[in-house]
Amino acid sequence: MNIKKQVTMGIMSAALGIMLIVGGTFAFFSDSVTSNNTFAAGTLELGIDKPQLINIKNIKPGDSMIRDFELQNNGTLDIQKVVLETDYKVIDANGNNTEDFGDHILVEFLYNVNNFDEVIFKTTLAELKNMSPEAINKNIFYPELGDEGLPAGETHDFIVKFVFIENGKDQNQFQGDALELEWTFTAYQKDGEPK
Amino acid sequence: MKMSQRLFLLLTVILAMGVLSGFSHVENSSDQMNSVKPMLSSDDRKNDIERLRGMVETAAEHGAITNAATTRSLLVHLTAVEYYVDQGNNDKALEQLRRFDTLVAQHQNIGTIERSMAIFIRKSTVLISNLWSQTDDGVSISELLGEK
Repeated sequence: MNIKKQVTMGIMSAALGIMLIVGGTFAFFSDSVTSNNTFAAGTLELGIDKPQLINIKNIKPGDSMIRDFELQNNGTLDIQKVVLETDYKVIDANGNNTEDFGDHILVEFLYNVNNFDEVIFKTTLAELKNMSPEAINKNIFYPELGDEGLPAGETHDFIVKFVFIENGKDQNQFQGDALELEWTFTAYQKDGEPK
Repeated sequence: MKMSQRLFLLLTVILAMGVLSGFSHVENSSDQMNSVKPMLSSDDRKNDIERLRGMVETAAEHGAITNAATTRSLLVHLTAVEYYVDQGNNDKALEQLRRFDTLVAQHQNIGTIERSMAIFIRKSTVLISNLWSQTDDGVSISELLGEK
């Protein structure tokens, strides 16, 4: 057999092999099924029952005010922790302030009643501005008492006490002034887990 | 018995008598208990809280509570109960009063309050909360104790 016939035979053998493979694939029984999948994200929705916690006029040094509010988990996902950020603006009525009014308003306590957790303890608003306390997290008594975070559909009650500090010194510069306090509560999800 | 222990025992007895005498605002007549529910005023409730607060402070003064954080924890919770009373939210006040018992029990378990003092405060708390619930909901103490 000359070289030309050998090449021709080789090509024909290869072609036959390919035809057998392709033909064989269609020759056997086959079946297929389709899986339609969904990844639906849950919702993280923190609510508060009172958009305005306090609106009080005509206060003087030595006055104290207790208020309550409720944080609600209105989403479908459990909340791991809620962090509180503080900001405020002082309206200096007479333009004579030499001190920050925020140094004279004390948060005597912010108490998470459900978790028996004192979130803030004797801290001025000026100090709080540089802090990010956790209003909700795992408390010291968990798991015996309280929740781990804020489970979906649940609420936590809070009590807060503000005090206009009476420091025994001249505080006349604050007469007629106002302090607009903004508290922002930010909820964070729990760590991811195998599902 | 040491002098301090005697003093502590004496104070405990005095406080117990104070608590029991404080219940005098409840009508004792069995007919009235069955027909007319006694009304507790906000001041009555605040007096009850004040008694509990006094017990905690006395316990702290005599070393029956081992640290300041525990004392503060108990007092802040009572402040929350009192706040709800001030707001006229008696349901929430009662709920948190009952949870005060839970809190004291927890401190008892972890050893931050002496057992005898914890039991005394807890029994007083249960008595007061039963009284409050009887007044609010018409539930008798016997029912609360599961005797009916």
